[in-house]
Amino acid sequence: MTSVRPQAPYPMATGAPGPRGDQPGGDRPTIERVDEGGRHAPVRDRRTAGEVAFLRVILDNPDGVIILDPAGQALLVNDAAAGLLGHPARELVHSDLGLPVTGSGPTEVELFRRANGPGTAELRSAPIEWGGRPAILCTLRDTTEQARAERELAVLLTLLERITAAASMSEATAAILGGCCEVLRATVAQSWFVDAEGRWLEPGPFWAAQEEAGRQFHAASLGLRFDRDGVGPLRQVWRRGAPRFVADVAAEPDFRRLEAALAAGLRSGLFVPIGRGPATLGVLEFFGPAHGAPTDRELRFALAVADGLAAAGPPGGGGAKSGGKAPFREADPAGFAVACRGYGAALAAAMSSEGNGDDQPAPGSLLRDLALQLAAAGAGARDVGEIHAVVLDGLEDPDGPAPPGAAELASNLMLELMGELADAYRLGPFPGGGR
Amino acid sequence: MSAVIRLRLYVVGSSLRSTVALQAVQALCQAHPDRVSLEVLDVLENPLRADDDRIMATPCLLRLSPEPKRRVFGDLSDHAALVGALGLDLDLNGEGGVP
Repeated sequence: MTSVRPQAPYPMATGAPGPRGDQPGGDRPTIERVDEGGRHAPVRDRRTAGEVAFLRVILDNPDGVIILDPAGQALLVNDAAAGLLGHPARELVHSDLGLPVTGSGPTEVELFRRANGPGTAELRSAPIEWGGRPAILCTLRDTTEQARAERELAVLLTLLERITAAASMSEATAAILGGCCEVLRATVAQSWFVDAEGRWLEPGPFWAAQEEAGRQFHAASLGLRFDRDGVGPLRQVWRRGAPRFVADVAAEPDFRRLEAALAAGLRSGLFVPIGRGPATLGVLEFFGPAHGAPTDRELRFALAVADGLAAAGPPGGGGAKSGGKAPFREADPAGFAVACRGYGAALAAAMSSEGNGDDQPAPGSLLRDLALQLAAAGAGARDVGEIHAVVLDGLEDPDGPAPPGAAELASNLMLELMGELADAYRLGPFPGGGR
Repeated sequence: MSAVIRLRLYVVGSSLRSTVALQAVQALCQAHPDRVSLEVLDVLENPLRADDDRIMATPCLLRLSPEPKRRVFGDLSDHAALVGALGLDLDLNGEGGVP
């Protein structure tokens, strides 16, 4: 058991240990104390240098660290824990935080923070001795971003399922716009598809969190006619073949729906092409109140959905991979097994290149080859999701943990494969070389 | 006869963790229907009550009575750990196990 014997009042997270016992002026270790009014005052106490060093480890730890008495009252809270819980340390010390129950390993908890928004943390706990008495050491590691990534991946897989189950791109688009808005922090989503002659944009499904405001904006959009290249941001989306984010549509010189957008409380827009280059099939528009630019992960999500739509077929239906076709796994079990091995090889290559850079084939070329095989077999986005799941399951070796970072690498690979498959079906080599 | 034990469980939305905690605590209560009463609150729907109870992490189970009040948070699926941490006077021998 770790044993530390601080004197009351207990040090708080906002305090910093003073000089160590082996430093000049540090023959008697000191630690800064915070009194009831939050004032800092260095005080001398009787800690040994080792005890002060232990305190320094706790206070400076990037993980949240809380020491609790056996009734669940906080004796010490470091800055990281205070930040995670969304309260100043001085409010938390001496308050009843409760006892952590973690079983034999770490457990996840949801953080309820009015100011900082919700979060998640990995909770661990262990009995210690603190000040000569039994206590509980509790650590919290922020997993909010990891949990968000997992949630986004789960949403993506669900949306890709919907895409592959739909009979047409229009039906697929209608099924996924709401889910996309949830991840992309948008309140209105619209879609446009190139008409059969390739000259004009025809309106596709739309979705709005607040129906009335969304409908008015949609009606204003329908009142305009866009040529194939679109207008304003759309034109640039078309030419660049990549998503474009506009933080403020009012700053766009030729955004023709500005009045309706402002009336609906829409300021930002994310425009995502369905397909790329000459084979672009349409555009997804996501509008929302002003917020920050999408993260790389959100952009990858948007691209994966758009690629899934491109792989699903033209707006009017008849896509090679949708409309009730049997899953690849059932239609061709041997081919599915080969594809899983190919995906596993790409994952191994990616892990190797992350590590020591062995002479493995580049994961990108393996994925391109795999996408061509999948396209030849008529496989679709849902099948990619299944291959991903099978390979991930295989990583869960009962004799040991999966290699660190493998799951995240596999998620990124899946998105890349989705894009490669869309290219293999619709586009051929991407002009300009890659995404 | 022993006093009824009043518990309040805070969860968040319909997350997997919340669902598992809810099922486990409900199973504990159903195994002792005359001894335990349970109130379940979602922090998203009851933010003010969660504030009043100073809820910071969920799932969180509060023992409201008998005194002293206690609270636990984290993995609530292990009945024995739960009963021990909350200091509940419940006999777990007759239970069918954790769901």
